[in-house]
Amino acid sequence: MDEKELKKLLEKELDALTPSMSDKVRKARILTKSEQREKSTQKVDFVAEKKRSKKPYLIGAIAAVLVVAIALAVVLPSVFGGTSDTPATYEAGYLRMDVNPSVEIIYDKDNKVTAVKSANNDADVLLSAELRTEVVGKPVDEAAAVIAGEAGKLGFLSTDNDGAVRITVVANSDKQREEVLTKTSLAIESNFMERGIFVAVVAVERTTEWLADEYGVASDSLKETVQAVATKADSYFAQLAETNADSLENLKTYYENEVFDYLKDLLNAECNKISKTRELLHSAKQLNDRISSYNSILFGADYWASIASDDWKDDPTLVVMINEMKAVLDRIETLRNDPVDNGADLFGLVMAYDLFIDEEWISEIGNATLDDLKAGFDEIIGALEDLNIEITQALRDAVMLVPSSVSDFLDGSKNVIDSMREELYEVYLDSYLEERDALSAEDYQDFYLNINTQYGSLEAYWGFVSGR
Amino acid sequence: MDKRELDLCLQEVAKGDNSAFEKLYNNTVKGIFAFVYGFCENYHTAEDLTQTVYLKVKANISKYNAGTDARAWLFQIAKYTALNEIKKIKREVVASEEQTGRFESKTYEMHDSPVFDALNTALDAKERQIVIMHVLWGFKHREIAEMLSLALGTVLWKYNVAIKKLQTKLKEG
Repeated sequence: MDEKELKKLLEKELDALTPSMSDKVRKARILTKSEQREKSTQKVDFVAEKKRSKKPYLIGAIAAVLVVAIALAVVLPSVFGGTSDTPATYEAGYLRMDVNPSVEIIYDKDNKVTAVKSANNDADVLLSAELRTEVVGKPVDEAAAVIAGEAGKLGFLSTDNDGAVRITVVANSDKQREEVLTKTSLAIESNFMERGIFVAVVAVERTTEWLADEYGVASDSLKETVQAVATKADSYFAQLAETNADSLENLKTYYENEVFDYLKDLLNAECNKISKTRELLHSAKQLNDRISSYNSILFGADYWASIASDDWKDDPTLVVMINEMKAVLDRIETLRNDPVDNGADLFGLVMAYDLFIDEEWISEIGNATLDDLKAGFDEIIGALEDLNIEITQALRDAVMLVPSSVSDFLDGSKNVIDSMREELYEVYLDSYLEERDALSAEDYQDFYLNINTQYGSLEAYWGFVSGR
Repeated sequence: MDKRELDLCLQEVAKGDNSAFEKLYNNTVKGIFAFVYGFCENYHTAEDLTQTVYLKVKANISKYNAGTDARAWLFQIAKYTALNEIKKIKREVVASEEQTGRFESKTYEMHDSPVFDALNTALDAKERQIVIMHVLWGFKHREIAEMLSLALGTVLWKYNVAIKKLQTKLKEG
């Protein structure tokens, strides 16, 4: 079943599955601009909303208890120990915000930001000196909203964590924790809503023990733990470099020496296959010309015209030529049907391959004129542009090579494929390296372990991807 | 309905045209349903979410900028409607904080829909999203790459892998 058939079937199944418009939707009014504006400017009564506990972004008392039960890895005895939440002085606290990027915010007893740290390398990019200066001293909820907003502007808001912003708060007081979580959630959502963007905020509560574990701090004091966070290296990369310099280097070497070469070999193998097909097409053309010449008495009937009837079977010479042509075309078909879609690195090549070697092209090749060929070049350029490949002058020259004959065109097409291969290779390589370099050593370890568990080896994984 | 037709349709909806809204519904509901289903994998929840998306379209149509990518606008509403639902479920169900996005207790009822079944069982979340966006929504791969903040190569690769997986799953029957 090919892609087109899959699509057709899927649409047919969905015709049966998808619900009809409900009465509620049918009867709902289409709001005009002024009605919509009026609706969005209605102030939210925080207290009333909190009491109702219906709005998904507000944490009511019951929901807060559930969240504590859900989120705590180690439950503080004092949370459920029966001691009521006395209005104690707040302590310093910790907030981690995962957009991607991941940012850590330390705040004081007044919930004002005292330090901002990056927790991954994207945060190194996000937290410019200006942004850090801007948010220190601000209330933590406002600071988080500003940073999340900047992340959105820089295009960081991604679907890596389902498109949600996750905020994790550590505080010693239930009241402070709830206040920070609630205000920060609201602030982030409002920041995006003003720009017409819906953001889901997931709020998580953690204990001092959790934070101390994360940072290897042997203390149960939130103040001391937070101090340790505040004094760690400012940049994620710097931290990683300190602790994982060797493993990062080894990782890079592994990719460059082994995985990369494996990919290159796959690519070259497929390109050789395409080159081989070029040669066969050339042979097909020559054979076809010979058949046409031989059939001059039959108005120059070529291979396809010849086999339309059985007359050729009476001529031994023609039989030899026809059979030879059949064999060449079969070999082309075999190569064509051999799985070549080895993933993104060859996807463009497959497209190019199809442009040259679809069934219509094979049947028309004997009758192609130079004008036909030139028209094909525009298609090739279009296909490259669809793949977001920059059309350099060298590539354009290669594609627009004007052949003096069809056979020259077939020869020249090898140059086109080679040029396309180089361009696609660079595009894929850049994407691949970007993805690879974005992995932390830990993430890569997980990836590598998963691959080995599921497939036995990285080589087997590539084999799976390539369909071999 | 292509991008341009969808844009014109939304402009008509914005003027209060209910028949244009009906047309919009009929032409986009498959893509919406398939997409939100991937978040909850429960038919009834997906049904409700689908209706919620269209309620939000009616409520927010005035925010749609004519001439922009209508599919992207609808897709965004669908995405965040689904995410908000997940968030709501997370707060109502006692579950570990480490679970992200998907829940173990789902009902799966699509026995007569082998391709849709395969889409939701054989593919991971990202692969499913890419296939739905390309096949049902008509987004080009580079548009998908931009919207999902992925490299183009990754989208192309995952799409090919996804199609292979679907073909394998369907062959197994």
